[in-house]
Amino acid sequence: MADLTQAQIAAIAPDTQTIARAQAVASPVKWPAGGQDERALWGQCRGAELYDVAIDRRDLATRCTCPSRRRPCKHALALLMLSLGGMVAPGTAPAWVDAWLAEREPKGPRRPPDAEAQQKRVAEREAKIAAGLDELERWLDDLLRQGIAAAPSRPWETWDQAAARLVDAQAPGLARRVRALHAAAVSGEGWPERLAERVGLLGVLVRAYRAQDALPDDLRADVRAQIGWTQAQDDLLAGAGVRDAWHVLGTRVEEDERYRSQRTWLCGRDTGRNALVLAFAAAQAPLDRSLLPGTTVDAELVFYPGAAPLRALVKERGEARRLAAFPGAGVDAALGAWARALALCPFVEAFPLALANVTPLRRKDGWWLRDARGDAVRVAGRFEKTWELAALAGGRPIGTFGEWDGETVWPLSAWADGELEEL
Amino acid sequence: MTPYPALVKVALLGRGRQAPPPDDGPFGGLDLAARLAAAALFEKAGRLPARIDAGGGRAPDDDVPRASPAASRALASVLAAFPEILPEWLARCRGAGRRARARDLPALLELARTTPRLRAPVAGVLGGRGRWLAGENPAWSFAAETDAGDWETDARPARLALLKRRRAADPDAARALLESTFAKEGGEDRAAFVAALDTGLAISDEPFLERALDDRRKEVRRAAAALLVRLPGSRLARRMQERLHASLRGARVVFPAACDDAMLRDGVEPVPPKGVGAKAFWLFQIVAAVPPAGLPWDRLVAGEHKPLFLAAGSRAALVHADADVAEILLRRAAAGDEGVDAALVEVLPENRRHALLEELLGERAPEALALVLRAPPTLSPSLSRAAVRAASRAPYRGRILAELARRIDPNVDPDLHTVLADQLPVLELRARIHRELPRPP
Repeated sequence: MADLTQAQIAAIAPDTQTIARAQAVASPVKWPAGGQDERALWGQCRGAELYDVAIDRRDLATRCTCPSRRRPCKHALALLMLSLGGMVAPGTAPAWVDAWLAEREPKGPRRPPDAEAQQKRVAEREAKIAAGLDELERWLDDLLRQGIAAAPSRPWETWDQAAARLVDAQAPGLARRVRALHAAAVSGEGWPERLAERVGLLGVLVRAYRAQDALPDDLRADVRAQIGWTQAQDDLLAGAGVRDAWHVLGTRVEEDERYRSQRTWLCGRDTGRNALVLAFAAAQAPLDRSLLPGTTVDAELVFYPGAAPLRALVKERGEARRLAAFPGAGVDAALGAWARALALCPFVEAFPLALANVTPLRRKDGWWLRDARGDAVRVAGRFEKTWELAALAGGRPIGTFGEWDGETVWPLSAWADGELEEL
Repeated sequence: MTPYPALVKVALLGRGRQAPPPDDGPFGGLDLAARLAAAALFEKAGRLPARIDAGGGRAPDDDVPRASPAASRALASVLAAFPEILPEWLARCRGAGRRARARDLPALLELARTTPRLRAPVAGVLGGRGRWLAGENPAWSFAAETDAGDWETDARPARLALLKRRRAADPDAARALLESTFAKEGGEDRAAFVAALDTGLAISDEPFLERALDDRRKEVRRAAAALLVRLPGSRLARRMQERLHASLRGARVVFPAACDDAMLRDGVEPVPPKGVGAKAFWLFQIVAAVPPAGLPWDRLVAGEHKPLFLAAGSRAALVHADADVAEILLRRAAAGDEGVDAALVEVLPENRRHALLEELLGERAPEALALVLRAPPTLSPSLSRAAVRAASRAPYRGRILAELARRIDPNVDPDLHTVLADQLPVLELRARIHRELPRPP
């Protein structure tokens, strides 16, 4: 357990220097006051002044009165280290800790929205989307009439302009898919198949959205989410969730110019369900790392509605413990699960692949993961840590978790010698 | 249903220019898009996994235990923030009887590839897994555990690696291998291969090296002479000793009259650097080539030719790892004499080194401090305290303290925290390394 928490400290720290500085502060002599209860840790740290520091146990959110711009700051990390060393005694929280915790509680029912204004906004957006779909239909028709052969040499701006019009039409999901067409067009060998499929799915989305009233509820939810309608998290969290011991198997962070997004993949021990928890942060801010790969958390997850639901929110969670066993399958079974998900919802993109007993193999055409039967999946060509994966395996079968995009797997963690190592 | 490839062909060339496939499905408006999506989905969901052959070998089982996860995290901090203390992490890991964790092996091998002086320390923590991994990637072959390679046909780097491996295993057999082809080798190869006999050097190499002194290429002669100097029983060493005795026979130092052919053959450079007298330069080389034990150093470094003997004695004590002479010379350096090589600090065994440096710090701190900065980590607790105190009074103390922070005992007294405030992050990291990778009792 000690290691686990050390790793958590390392995971939430903004950088290694801050960890090193925190270690210098993690000495009881620098902490004239401190304590903990089941909700939080708190203390006063002597720096240039006396700083008030507190940590919310539930998600390791921190608060400190120091002027540092790095968050969590060294004082908060030091407090975690002290508690790890058993140097924070139980106590009664001071008032400012109670106040801070109360502030962090989810807000009570908001002022009921003005139903009429709300309805008007929705109607306006629907009208814009309908116009956007008409324009997208013409654009797609044009593209297919002239042929996509010239697509790889079309400048990025022509895709981006089409996407921008969809942003104006308040259909950001479609805009993202149009921008992704450019990536497919310049993706090298096999690009016509990749591009044609995505063009095709855009056409399907246009039709499906127009005919959404004829769709089953869950598929309708998928289509609306694909267009870019979001659901209020509070509404979702009010519904019932799925309780299980959730294994945290991997995270992937992608950076944009403006923000970073993080996908965390979970797998339920008893339900066998896969879940995807998203987190976003502005460029410099730390991402929520309370779900740490290599741990198992008892939690209630609420899934976004859909025909093959993956995306979920954490409604309630307990403490994390070390992952005891890797929940993997052979290549054929794992791809079978993916095919079933596709059959339910054709818009599934990244899909979790937990492969048990696969050996990383380097061949002339790249790296593969091969199971005992000889079935294999190709590792993404741009994946940079193949040698780390090979080192962890040592030529033997290991568990590997990654994201599958229909052609290649992007490994996120490896299970070797009874431990999950992030890649 | 029209198969996906046929539909893609239509999409590529354009619905306007291409006749629809012979089935009579709809093609107007979004029809082609919808049919593309359906056929693609059908293909994707139905595709069977690729089947490939098993291949590759397995890494051997490791007897040496792995470093702890915390030691691995400390390594990550070292690489991210304080790469200058990587040698200490490597030495500690090896000293603790541990090997690097598998996930750290590629980064270490890559560093060793780009920084050759890290190769030996990295090799010490690779374990069987790391040597196996090095064999899987041609870029890391320098660390591979293999006897692969062909002495007759490989390129020079591979042959050099092979020669060094064989030397480590069976020096005489390796030398015999080299001798079997030596006459046919090019000049640069001969010089590189002779220098490689450094590994496993012993008196049985002497006849071969003595012959190499007559090589037609200067680099080969030099490499051979440099090795023979390190073999006190060699004929070259005896000739050098005779020359030295001739010079030191009387009360006054007698300089060699000329650099004769025999001296040239033994590797003495005839032409001095600018500003150095030729005869002094010849004598310098002779002194530096002879084991320094038994010479009257107290007299030599106090006399007329003090600078020459300080410098030449330093070389000789380094080559022959003579701790007694090293201590004599280091004491002169601490007393303010110039020309002593501070690297002599590394010749002393650790306890003796720490005791001497602590004593010298008590006498002339600035000079002694310069010597302390040459000592490898970890200084004894009392020497650490003395050095930090001395540095806190020195000019430019920031730079000196930064250098000291890489060497001193990282568990410094709290009363020194103020002086070392800027160094606490690296000290804390080093303390963590020491905790996670303890020396065996």
